[in-house]
Amino acid sequence: MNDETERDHPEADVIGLLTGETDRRRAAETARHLKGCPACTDELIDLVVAHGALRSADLALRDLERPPTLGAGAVVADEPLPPLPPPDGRRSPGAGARSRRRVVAVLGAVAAAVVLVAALGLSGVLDGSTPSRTVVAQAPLHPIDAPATATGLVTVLADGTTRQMTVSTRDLGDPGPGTYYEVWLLDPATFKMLPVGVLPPSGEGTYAVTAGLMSGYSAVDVSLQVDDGDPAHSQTSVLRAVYAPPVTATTSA
Amino acid sequence: MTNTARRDDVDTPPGPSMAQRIVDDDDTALADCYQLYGPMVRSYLRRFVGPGDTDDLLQVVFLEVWRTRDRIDPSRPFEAWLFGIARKRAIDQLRRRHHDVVSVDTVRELVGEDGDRFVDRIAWAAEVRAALGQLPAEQREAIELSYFDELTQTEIAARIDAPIGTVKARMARGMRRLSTMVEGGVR
Repeated sequence: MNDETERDHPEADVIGLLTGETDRRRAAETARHLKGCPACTDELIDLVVAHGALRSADLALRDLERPPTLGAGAVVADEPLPPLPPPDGRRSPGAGARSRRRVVAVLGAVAAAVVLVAALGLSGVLDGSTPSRTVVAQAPLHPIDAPATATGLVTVLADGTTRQMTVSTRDLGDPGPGTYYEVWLLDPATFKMLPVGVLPPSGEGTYAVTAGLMSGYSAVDVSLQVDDGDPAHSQTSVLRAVYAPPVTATTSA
Repeated sequence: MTNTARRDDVDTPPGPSMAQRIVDDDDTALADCYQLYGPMVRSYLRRFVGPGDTDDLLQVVFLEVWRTRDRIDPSRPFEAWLFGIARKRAIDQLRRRHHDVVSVDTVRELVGEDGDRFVDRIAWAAEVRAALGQLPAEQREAIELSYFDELTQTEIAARIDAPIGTVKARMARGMRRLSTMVEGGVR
């Protein structure tokens, strides 16, 4: 009831009716009153809409807090939120999400070092033995969780719709027992990742990737992986190179 | 209908919507957005990707909101935009784990028409909760105790030490305003 009807229509207890907290006599009184009172009927409409919205929200939140699978543990409402890293001020599509723990600051510096050979019309033949292959991108690898002297180069050759990506590392060091280095394609804006292969002990590996796949990413990431059967990225990035401008965001939420 | 609300229940005009603040580069908008919606977005993400990846993905989602803010339409429900991003990032995360076993139930609530319906319901719930946050504190308290804590009006009256008529009045005022916000797209 609004303030007017609260005063002038005390026989109408719509709130009690909606919440199920009225008795038979009061429910009947309210029903009789509503049938003859346009003001209270208007009020009823507002309250029913709000009641529906609140009930819907309550049910949805209950569903959200119900774990869908054993161990998923969806109930986290009372846990403090992790701090949100400061965002980059730029708008899309030029800026990427800067969220992962270790690599945030490095990306900007690395991006500045991108060498976009083909895009700038500087494509060239690598050598006489591979005349049909042109360098379409080349970018230095920069250390992240690696010795400061660790470095390397990513070179991407085009051969039709195939891209041959060579990752050459230097001073990366032995990964240690039970661990290995793995090469990934990365979209820093969304942290979408695609594993392309294990980096050989020599520190140099060549991987074939389709042009379509390659265009969905803009960086190469080398991770230190534990040989534990988990195929996911370990989140320990040791080297990274940005070989193209950030992928234009295609999210259309 | 005349509104003679008491001073402590006075309805204040709503400020700029969260979406508008983000679009306008309001310095505090992202932090406020994160505080307001973060818990629900985290619950949503955790439901699908599990606890290990949730917090990283949570940050990705909110930074993406900020990064793509020039595509936000403040006249449309911001929550649908936000949870749409969360859903896409959750799907990406599961795709990355192509070797892992993902339960049918999890996938069902994330993709396809069921996924559409589920995320719509969650976004709508977030919208309602955000609208509640714009009500005067005493109205909001009465409504939340009733609808989310399942207290009876008598129990609410005892909890807030007020007559039951006051509880009904606060709920009614708050629900009226909530209804108006719902009809108008909340904000």
